[in-house]
Amino acid sequence: MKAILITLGVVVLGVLAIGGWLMGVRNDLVPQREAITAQWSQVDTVLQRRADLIPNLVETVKGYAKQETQIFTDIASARASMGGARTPGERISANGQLDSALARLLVVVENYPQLKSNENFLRLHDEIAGAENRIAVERHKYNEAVLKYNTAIELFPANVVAGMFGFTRNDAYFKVDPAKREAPAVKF
Amino acid sequence: MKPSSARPLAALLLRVWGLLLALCFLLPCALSAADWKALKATGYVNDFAGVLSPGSVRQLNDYCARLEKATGAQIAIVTIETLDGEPVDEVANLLYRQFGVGQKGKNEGALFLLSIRDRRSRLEVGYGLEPILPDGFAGSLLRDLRPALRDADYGAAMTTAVATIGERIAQAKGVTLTGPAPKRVEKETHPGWVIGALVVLLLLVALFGAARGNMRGGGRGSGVGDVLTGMAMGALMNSGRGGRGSGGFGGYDSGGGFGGFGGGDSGGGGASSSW
Repeated sequence: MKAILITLGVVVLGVLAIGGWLMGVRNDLVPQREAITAQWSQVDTVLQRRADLIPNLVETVKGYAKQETQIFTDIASARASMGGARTPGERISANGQLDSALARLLVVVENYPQLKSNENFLRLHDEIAGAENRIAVERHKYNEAVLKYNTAIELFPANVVAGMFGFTRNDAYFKVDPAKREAPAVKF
Repeated sequence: MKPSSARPLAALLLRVWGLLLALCFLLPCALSAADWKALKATGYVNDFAGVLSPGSVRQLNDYCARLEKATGAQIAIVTIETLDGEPVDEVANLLYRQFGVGQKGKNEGALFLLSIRDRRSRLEVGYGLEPILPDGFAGSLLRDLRPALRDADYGAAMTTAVATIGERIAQAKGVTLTGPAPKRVEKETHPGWVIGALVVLLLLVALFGAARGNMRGGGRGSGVGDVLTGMAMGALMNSGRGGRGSGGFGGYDSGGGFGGFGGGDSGGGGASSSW
């Protein structure tokens, strides 16, 4: 009788300990998953910030370089696909398209010295460059959050808990093109 | 037997010597390689490149302390020798977050970064000051600093820059700053070697005077020595005043010293420029 009671007690204690541990791990993973969502909204805000600045820049450039119609069309279509993109993955790839169209616009600007010295253009360019830098910073923070979460759910023994509660790997990383980082910056 | 054993020894010595020489050349490179994490904030002004005069540093520190007291905003001024090929935006953001400029949660801070050899400048603006210091304003301020930076007048550039953003922050917060704005400090008129030369001169004159005094048993000789000593000492004291006095605005409340940055964060606002 006594032996049964002791066994029962040990089993109950063991179940409680395991249950407590499971809950602890799960409660640790939830905020990490939420952090990705929160950081994504930061990224999305700055992506939108840049997209919103572009029409102003395009108008200013048009005042000096009307004939560069191809580049204006490219930018308009890149902005349109940005507007249609919903998921982080789609937004990331649409943003890449906008990146390259904008980079080509800034190369074109090099041919118009008057435009380059226009204070209004310079300020707009600062705003665009600032928006791009914000994108770089926020997506760096976003990548950090994704990496932290992915690492957390894959390490033993937390991976067992992650599997039980349906925490899956998140692969919506921003990839930075190494060639682009080294491209000579257009200076004004 | 002896020459053959001496040759390897000589070769060994030569090799050690070569290694030592190589080490001497390599060591400075190793030390100057980018290790931004090792940079610690020592005050509002962090002149790692050593290009600001003591007067400028004091004025800037004073002004930033008063600005923080009046508005809560923190400004960091950082000069570095080189970026080691890294983008100025990334280095500025890294330093900003590492120093934690601005109070945690409020993030009202700004960081000026000058990289002297690359001729790159950046004003990194924390989340909290973004509405007050928009990127267009930051870029235009940096462009205005170009002439002073091209003249290597870094102290003047930084005092102008800090006063400009300080006023803008104070205005936005509806407060007025007490005490004077940081004023342009004259370039150091007495560099270190002049003072050193004067000390040597003083010693020589004192020795010369003493020697002559001993030989003649006092009288005219030691008198000349005394006059020369007096002149040299006067020059020394003057130079000391020049160095310190350039920042001398006694009498106002400097708002206390640097109490450390507050753990603020930046999302990459601001602008970069070159000169």
